[in-house]
Amino acid sequence: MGLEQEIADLYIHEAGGMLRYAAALAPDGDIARDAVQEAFFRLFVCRSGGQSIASPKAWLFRVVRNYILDQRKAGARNTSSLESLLNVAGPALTDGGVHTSELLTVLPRIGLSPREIECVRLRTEDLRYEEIASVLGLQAGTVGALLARAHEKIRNAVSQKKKSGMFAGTLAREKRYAS
Amino acid sequence: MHPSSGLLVSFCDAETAAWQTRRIARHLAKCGRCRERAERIRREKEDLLAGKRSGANPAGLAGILSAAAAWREGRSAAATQLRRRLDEEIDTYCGAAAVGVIDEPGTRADQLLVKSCELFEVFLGPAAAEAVRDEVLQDLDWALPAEEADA
Repeated sequence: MGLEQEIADLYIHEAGGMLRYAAALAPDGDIARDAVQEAFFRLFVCRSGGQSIASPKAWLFRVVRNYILDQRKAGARNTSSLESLLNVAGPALTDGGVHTSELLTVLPRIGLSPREIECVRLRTEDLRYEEIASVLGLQAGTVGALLARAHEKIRNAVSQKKKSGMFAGTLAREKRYAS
Repeated sequence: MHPSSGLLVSFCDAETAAWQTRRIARHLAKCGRCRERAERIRREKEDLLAGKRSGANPAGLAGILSAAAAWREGRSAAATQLRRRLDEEIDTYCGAAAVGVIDEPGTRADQLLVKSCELFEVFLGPAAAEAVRDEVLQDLDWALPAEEADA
């Protein structure tokens, strides 16, 4: 398989998820789209130069993340920590390119940490624990622990807020759980 | 012994070790309560995925493949820009003499990138090497014709 074909296959399978992830981190949709394009250009150049990449999917997500953090740092030089740069509130794109579950968009409001939210987001894009660890620079065991904790928080929040209507649309779907 | 919530989440993600998977599967076969817990975790995961759909943009792929073709054919200014940036980084971290050794005649810019990143990984460590790689690849003019690189 030629390199261009390899890139095209990866794009077809991964670009949608990368864009969703990028949209959750980026301050605007243009930066999210640029990050995805840039990641594929960089992958092409590195592979063309002979670099072997064990998990291209994790590599691409990592480049997207680094690209957006660099852009955000450039736009907020006085922000003190990397974590605080993460806008994990939800997708910023609204033109139909990105769509995500309502539950994912309320994660920051139910007490998940930025790391937990990123783990959940990457997991929903079908990244394995090892791949998530590689993207975020963590140990795979830590990813498992973060996901378990996130899951617990989501469950508690959903059960606590069922009556308050905090996320009405989500809870409409949740009703089937009770039946 | 009932598996912990964390272990059940990993099991539902197919991320447990083979021996753990076998042990949990055996346990679930006989424990209705844990079966229900696992089922609930699966349903909750489905809810997280609700509405997910592909956002891949065919125009985006066309742009990438077009830039790749320009790169291969030496029509892209990005290769010249990349070589210049890499030479500067090699000079900074390894000294001017190293530039001539690493950037040999006939070495393509992408080969130089991989070679120098391997070098930086040894001397600076993986995280710093990655940061240098990101730096030199940042905002290259992929679409700019090669003849305009020096302009």
